[in-house]
Amino acid sequence: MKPDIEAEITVLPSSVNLRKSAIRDDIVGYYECPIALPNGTWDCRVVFPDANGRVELGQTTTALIQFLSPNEALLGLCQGDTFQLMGRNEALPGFSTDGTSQLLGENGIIALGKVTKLLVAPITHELKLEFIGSSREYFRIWVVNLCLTLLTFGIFSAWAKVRKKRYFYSHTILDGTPFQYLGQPLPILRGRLIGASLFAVYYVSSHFFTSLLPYVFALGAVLAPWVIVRSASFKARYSAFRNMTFRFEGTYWGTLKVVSAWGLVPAIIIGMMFHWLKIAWIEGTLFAVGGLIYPWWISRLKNFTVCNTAFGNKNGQLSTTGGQFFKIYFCSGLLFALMLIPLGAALSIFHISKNSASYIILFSLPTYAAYALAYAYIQAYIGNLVWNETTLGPLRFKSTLSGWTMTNYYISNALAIIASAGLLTPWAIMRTMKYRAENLQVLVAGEVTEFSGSDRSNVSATGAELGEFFDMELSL
Amino acid sequence: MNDAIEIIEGLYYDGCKPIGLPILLSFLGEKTTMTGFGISKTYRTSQLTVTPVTGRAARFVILPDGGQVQCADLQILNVLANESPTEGPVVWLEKRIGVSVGCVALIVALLLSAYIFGLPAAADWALTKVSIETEQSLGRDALAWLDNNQWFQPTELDEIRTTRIRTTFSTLIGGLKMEHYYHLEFRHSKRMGANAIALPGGIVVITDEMVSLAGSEDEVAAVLAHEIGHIELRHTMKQIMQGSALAIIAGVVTNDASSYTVAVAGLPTLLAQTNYSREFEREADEFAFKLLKQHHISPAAFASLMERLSKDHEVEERYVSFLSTHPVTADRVKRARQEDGKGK
Repeated sequence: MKPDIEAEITVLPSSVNLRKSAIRDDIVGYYECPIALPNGTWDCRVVFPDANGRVELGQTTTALIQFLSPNEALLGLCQGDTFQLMGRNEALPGFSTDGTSQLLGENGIIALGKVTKLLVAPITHELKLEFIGSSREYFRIWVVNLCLTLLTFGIFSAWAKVRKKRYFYSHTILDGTPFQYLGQPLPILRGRLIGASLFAVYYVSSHFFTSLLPYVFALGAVLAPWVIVRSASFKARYSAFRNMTFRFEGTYWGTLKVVSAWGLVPAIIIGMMFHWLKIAWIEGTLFAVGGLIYPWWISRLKNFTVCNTAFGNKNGQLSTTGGQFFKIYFCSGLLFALMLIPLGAALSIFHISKNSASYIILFSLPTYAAYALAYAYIQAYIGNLVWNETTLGPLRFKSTLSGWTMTNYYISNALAIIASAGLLTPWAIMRTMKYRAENLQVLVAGEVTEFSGSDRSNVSATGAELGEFFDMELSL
Repeated sequence: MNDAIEIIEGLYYDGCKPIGLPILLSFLGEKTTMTGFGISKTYRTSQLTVTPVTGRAARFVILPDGGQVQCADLQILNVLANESPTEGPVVWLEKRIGVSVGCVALIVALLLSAYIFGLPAAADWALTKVSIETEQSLGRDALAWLDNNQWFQPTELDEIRTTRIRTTFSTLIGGLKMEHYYHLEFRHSKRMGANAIALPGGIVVITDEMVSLAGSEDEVAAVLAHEIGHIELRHTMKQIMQGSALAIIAGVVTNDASSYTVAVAGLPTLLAQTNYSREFEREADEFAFKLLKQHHISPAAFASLMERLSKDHEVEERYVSFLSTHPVTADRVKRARQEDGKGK
């Protein structure tokens, strides 16, 4: 496929001879010359729309540029890029050999131009994504860091986090280059200390001073958007690929608007503060509405997160609808119900007492399995939905997680971890990460060179660590 | 550093475009030169830093101008300053298999000793810092919460009955450490059924259902004595403290697994907590036996009430004892009868 671009070309007044030489009486006017683009110099054919190929000196006109060389000419080419057309000192094919063509620009710049449109869609190709972590290696990192964390009463957990993140990132390889985790232990430690003290306030008020709880929630609601923004910013800022970091551009107010779920969350908090939730119909209505709009809320949150995440100069794009999420939650709920209804029926038929061993085996284990299935189903298909609809600059994603396989992973991981008293935790993590990476394809429609530049401002870790304590991270 | 030149291959990322340019890094003593297609830059070796070793991953040399060079984990890189110096010793530990084995042993030892000695001792210590007044206000809050959330309804017992039970109660608490803080409450509870609970700060709640289930005054006294045991030994506060500490430790230990499984973290916490709780029940039982005998009430009353309760609940306990917050009834009944025998 020959890549073509459409361009605006201004012929320089100094290139006096262009007009003469570019015109041929018998064929459509074009001429061939080197074009100097930001990504290199290529041979091209410039076709002017005028049947005569006539161009006036100093005039700006639209022309078609066909590259004579193969695809790499389009490498990294963007709309708005400027170029120069170079004259050449030799006879060109397709021109008369009466000597006039030799006057073509005389080796200098004969015209300036700007790319207005890429006419041929750049070819899509896949960037190989692989996770090369090994259970043995990760076991050592995990156990050493866990041991040091326990020995230091948790202080070391900041270092442990960095070590583990580094391991995950650097063993995730995209197109031959590992990701980089740039977070540093000390800021994380500071964030964790603040997070832990706020969590203690929450814990004490939720367990001991329940009358204070609504106010703590209100404070939490005011703080939450800040925590979410900081957390997402930290995570993005300290994740890098090829020496370019990610960025999160959400603002406090933007986040507040999205998180408040059209005023429902503030309504619930105010309801708690004034004890309205004790009134059954108010509580019922609020929670029914909450349950119903939940998929739309999640959809909005995901769109917000992706659109505010940037790599280099490109922002993510995602426009899912609540309906797409509703379908997933609904199917998952249905699956859960279908598994539990026969179980409930069996229980009521056989009158099994709540404390008996048969109750545990007949009821608790299948409930756990049903829960795991419903949970894995949501994880897998929401993951697929979000990845598949996301674009980031020239990047497209294809996620092919299966709810059923994820259930198997979750349950077998749980069994392995319990049976090994936790020693198989690293193995469980590694195999699940491998599975996730194997089921994510990264495609490039265009060239990765479309990304450029990066912002190196610092983001404090406080928000990120708070987010971890309160489980408030927005994640893909 | 010697003067021999050492050259390694790498990919240079300038930070402007996500493209790696193949380059060579030549280390020559104090100077390091990067050469590649159209690139030739010289840096002072002391200005370069390198990311710490992480598994088998490639490492990055960070250039003072913001560029980075990705290269394999080669020996020569270790002459450069570590980008994150505090991670160095950890890397050393991570590389040694012996250290890992030692860590496993150490973790097991730490967790066990924290569970058996550390947490109870820490909770006892922390209890000395909590004033009875704070505990009382917690207890009042808790009772108000239970009242407001349909756990309890007002008692339907007549005054004569409650007065008699109150008299028994004040006899039992006479002369105890917390004597002046005790407070007995009667409640009707459809949800809890026959039950009695001890709240922080000396509040004992007994349900109407429990009072009617009890066959005699002595059996009511036995229940009260058990709850008094919980209060005298400050079990509720201890339970909260040990439970919180346990949850935190379990959180730290299982945190890594949480997003790769479903509900694994809960299990160890649950098992550990119920074990503590069984321990508290046993302690309260022992306390009750002693208290009952002091007041010339036979611990057999406790045994007979327990038997009645277990019939009422139809508990098939044998299989689930490890999950239960209370010791197996049969064991408690046996202990009570033993105590009874000793008393005679």
